[in-house]
Amino acid sequence: MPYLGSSSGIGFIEFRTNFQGMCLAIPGKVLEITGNIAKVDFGYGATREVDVTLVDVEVGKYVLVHTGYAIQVLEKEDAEETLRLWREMLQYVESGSQ
Amino acid sequence: MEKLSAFRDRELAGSIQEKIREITPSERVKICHVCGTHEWTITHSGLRTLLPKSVSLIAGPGCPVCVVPAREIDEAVWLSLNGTTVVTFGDMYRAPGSEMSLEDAKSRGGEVRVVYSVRDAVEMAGKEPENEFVFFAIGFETTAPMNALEIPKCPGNLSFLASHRLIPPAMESLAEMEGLDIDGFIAPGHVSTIIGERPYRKFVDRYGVPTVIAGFEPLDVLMAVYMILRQLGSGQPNLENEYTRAVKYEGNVRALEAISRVFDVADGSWRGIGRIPSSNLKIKDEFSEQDARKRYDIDVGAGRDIYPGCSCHLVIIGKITPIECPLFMKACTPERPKGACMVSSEGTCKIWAEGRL
Repeated sequence: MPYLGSSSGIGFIEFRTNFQGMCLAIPGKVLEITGNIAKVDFGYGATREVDVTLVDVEVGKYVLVHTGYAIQVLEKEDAEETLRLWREMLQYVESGSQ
Repeated sequence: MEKLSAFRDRELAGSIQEKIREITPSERVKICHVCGTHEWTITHSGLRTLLPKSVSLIAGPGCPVCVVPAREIDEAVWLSLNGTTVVTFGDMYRAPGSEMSLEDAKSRGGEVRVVYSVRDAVEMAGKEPENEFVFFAIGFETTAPMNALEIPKCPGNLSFLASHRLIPPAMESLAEMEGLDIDGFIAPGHVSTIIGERPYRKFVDRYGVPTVIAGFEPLDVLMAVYMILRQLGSGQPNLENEYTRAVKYEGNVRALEAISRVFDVADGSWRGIGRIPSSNLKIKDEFSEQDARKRYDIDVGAGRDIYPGCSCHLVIIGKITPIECPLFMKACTPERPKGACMVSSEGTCKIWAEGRL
């Protein structure tokens, strides 16, 4: 069961539980790291061993995992920043069109 | 991370949709994505119905299973029937070769095992030194780094049948294809996590096509559409990254280094499309022992990519939609697929079959 929903509120996946696309990557929280292998929590109690050779990560951080390998570290601030920029962009056009 | 649920926020979706309506031109706008996961999001969240009629979202060759030519599946089938155990991902198991899939090969005594990760193949090979294993390594830039990490250090009884393909060259072939007339590209988020923003620059500079790197939540895709329309409206094509939370400008440098250490870029043939220059990753000579094509005398013919009557080759470039194929949901269903696009969970036909009907 590689693609499970997440109870961590990360909320990416519950609507794709039947989808196993090859380019799909799933976020999970790093619980512990031993060498290049981390134990990652994908929510609902689903943990998996993930190879973290490709990223620099610490316990407690979120990683984006593709076929058992972390490909990126996810920062909460980046998500917030994206939403802020979107709102700004939508706002801008609104005032521009008035 | 609870903020991420905001990427499905109804209210925000409503305001993006409204902005899209405000700036959509009356003439037809064709926006092409090249990722099966984008198609899944678009179809399953009904995004096409939210957009003005003049905007069409088409699916390019974004399914890594669908684009593997039949000849390369035939090679895997041959290996499975000739003394090696072929290990691959679930979707690849059912993808049709010229005569049979790996699933068919297994029913005829072939050795095939399905795994989630190349690490499973490495583990199997370590546990069973008496058997020879071949990992059928497919996938775009997102998946190639994993094999690049394992090839130099894997057990001696494991080799790789590499069938990776690269996305930007495929996008370039679409940009050049006559009669396709793409007005904007949605670039695939997780391929971009690896390759970064740079490889897309040419779509703006050389072809003048607005390009937005997008994530996979419904709002990510909706926002990408909006950003493309905005660029079209201003007459200034640009490269924008909507998915900065997972895609850095430079990509994942470690992954890119791993790829270039193990693979050389070569021309590649794509199922239904044909040859695309510099779109393929070949294992370097230095790792010949791990290259199944060099290790075994694989004996297969030229391969037949398209089943008679099947329109996969047109679906795969977004020229037609699945419902325009005469076989769709008649002779070709998810239960009895005829074309590769109906097999994979990222195949446009399979997504439409399961999401629209």
